Amino acid sequence: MRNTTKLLGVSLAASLAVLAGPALAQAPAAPHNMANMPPPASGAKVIVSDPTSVVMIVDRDSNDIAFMDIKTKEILGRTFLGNNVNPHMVMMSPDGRYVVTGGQRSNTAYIIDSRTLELVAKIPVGFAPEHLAFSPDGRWYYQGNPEGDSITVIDMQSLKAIKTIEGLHEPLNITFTPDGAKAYIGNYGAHWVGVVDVTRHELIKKINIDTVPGVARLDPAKYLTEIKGIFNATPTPDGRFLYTADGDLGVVGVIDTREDKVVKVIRVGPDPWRLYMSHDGKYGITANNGDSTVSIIDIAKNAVVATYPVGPDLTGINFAAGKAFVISSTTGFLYVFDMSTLKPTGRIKIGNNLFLQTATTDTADQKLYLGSATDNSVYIVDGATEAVERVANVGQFPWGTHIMDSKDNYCH
Amino acid sequence: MLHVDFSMSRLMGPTAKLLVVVLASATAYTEAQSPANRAAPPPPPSASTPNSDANTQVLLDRIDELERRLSQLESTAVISQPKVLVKEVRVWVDEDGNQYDHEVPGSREIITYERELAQRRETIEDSIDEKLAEEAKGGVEIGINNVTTLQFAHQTKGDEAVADGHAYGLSAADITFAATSAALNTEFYADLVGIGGSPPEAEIDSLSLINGQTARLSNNQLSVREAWLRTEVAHQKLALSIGRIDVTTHFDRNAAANDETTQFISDALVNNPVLGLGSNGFGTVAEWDPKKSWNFKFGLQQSTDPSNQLGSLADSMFKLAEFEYIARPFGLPEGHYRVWARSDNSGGLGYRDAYGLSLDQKVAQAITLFVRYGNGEVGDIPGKEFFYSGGIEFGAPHTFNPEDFWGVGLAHSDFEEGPSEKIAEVFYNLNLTTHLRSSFMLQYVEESATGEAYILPGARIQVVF
Repeated sequence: MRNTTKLLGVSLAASLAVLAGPALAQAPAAPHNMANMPPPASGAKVIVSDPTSVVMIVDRDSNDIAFMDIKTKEILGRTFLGNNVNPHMVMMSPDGRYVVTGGQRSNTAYIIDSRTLELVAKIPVGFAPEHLAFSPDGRWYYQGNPEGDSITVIDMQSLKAIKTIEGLHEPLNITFTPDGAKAYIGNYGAHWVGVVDVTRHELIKKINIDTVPGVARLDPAKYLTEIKGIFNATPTPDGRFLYTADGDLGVVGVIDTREDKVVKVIRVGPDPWRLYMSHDGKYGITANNGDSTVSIIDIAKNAVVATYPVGPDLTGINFAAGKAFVISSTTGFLYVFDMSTLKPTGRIKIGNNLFLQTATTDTADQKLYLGSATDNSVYIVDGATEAVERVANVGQFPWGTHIMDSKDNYCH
Repeated sequence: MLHVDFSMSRLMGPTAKLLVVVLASATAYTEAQSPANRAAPPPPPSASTPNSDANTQVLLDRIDELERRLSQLESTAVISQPKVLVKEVRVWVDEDGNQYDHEVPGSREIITYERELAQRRETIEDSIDEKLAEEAKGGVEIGINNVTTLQFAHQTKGDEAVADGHAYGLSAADITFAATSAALNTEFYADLVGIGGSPPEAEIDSLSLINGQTARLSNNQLSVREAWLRTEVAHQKLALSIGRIDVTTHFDRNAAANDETTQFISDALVNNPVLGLGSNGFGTVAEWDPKKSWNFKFGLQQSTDPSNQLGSLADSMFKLAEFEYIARPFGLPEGHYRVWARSDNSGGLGYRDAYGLSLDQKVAQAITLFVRYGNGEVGDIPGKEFFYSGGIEFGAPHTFNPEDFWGVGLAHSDFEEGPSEKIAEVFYNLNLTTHLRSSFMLQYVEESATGEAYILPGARIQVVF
């Protein structure tokens, strides 16, 4: 009897969600100006009045999210998530009201009030949550659980998990279409991209990026011990195409989101981590960790137009001031490329004995905010002058950064 | 409950600590599952407490507690031992030795090291992998590369020669040692090579080596191909290498025609013979590379016949400079354009000079054109040598497998006061596994000195670890 009641309850909730979903998906994003919002229910003091004015920093070992003022470079506050949490990636909701993160060790999603920095909800999710995404209308928060092979769907109105999408293989990243109707899931433990119907939160299709070569059978040491599949699906600015790099296959598959099919397979360097799209959408760059190179793809031609050597252990690529900055984690270097000539212009030494992580770019496309794990710092790099400024003591083991509306918000 | 005395853990090795932690986790789990420790059932409703709401609340509280414990179990079913991180930190110290984490009047900034503890999600497998990686990073990396080549000679022109119909086999095994100090930006590399067998040039009187594996090395003996130390200075823009070097490792690094073990096997399609280097030897190379679209290199090397005893450096000085520019002409993908000049007195005729070009240009992502040109005096040979070569290399999708590649090349050498040579070659390199490659070659060689010409089909097997 209890089960039947539960089932009815769940069905009712799901039906309501299905009905509400499409309407909300079309709703315009709320304005960022928090002055329009009601005062915090808790009555707590407002610490961040403008969500676009801060850089959020994920501190993996001190288990907190730090909020740094972009202008003053001071830490305005921190939200401690709890012991043994290990937050992995942080993101602000499209309306600027909440900040969310997944605790890789606590198997929990955390929702923070972005004005007061109070922790307002802790939601159990799957195993080892890492990367996440919001639907464009901000209604759904998809939390990927790579070790649970699932995605937890969280309703940002009720702040509750409403569904778990199963059947994935190490889902690492989620990309919503601009209309919020579909989400594409990169499976690092497979060679396909999952298509999720966002109205039903159901996996409806698997898109195979490329066939594994027949010669793979001769090489079990490479293909049967570890899999490096698809890290993410990077959209073009209009969301029409997705670029999906596959590590083992050394290719980028181009998916037409109207047809949900692969329209081109582009061979790049070995073990591409993922593709990073330039802000004008003209070029995409893959970070190839197999041979420490980058491949620059002309998006209009869907062809590689240049390949250059960079350093090892590539963790990300940012775009600012007409340049691309390639992060070589263990060497402490950023390799710089002029995006008009598509040629290397030098490299920037951030420091010695560092373990660089990922960066976000400000909304003016001028400065990078780069997390540096071993010295508990964020480095601010001016894209035009290439000057570097260190902000120390931002928290322990800063793993990534995030700025609302930045075009370079990613994790690794 | 199991109680582990962690005060002893300082005396334990990492493996012992790991075992204790695993044991503790397993025991805790077992105990949690045991009937005695399972959550006690809620007390039966008492006739004296008819308030069912209160009982429900007790049940709900109990469920909450169970969920909390389950979550805790799930989240700590990984190594719960804290990870020790030693970090480099900047602090300020005043004259009395007081340390601050910020600048104070009269203090000076210093770098010191502090321990931090971190609770990370880490499985035993992660921990083992990390330790193995650390071990490998701190040690000497050893590599093995063996290439075995079989070639057949079929004479097509000239008076009947001894090589016609003969087969030639050669095996070259390299053992490499590499060690790196990331902090000092310094690297050590050594390559011992043993070559045994008989190449076609043992019976074919060719100007250049038909099998380039023996280039600048002695056959049928163990040699040190290279043994050098390299360090980077000037914000890592200037790299200095010193030791026994192979200058072709640093100069004329043509992307499509530079490796006799995987690409063309004819030495005339691997190197530029006008470079005129007789053997590897002691030397130094300076490379100025700001990682822009150009770089500059300068090298000095002792260069004598390998059978000679080495004398003064000044008696056999090989000087070489190269400028390389990366271009994208006509909207094509990247191309590398190099110009070099060298001077060499190892021939005993004083310094003799030469210059050359080397370029490789991608015309598409998987198609690369290459060209070499050389002009100058070589060794003790009278007059000048003119040389040019060119060809094309194809990768996937113009191959059977994604990591295969193949190429076609032509080379022509001509001495002003002597013989000339024409070489053509096509090869296909088949990538079977990460450690095993097989390639097939077909060469055509024509020598003006003897009037002979040969077709040489061949195959190579390469094993790399």
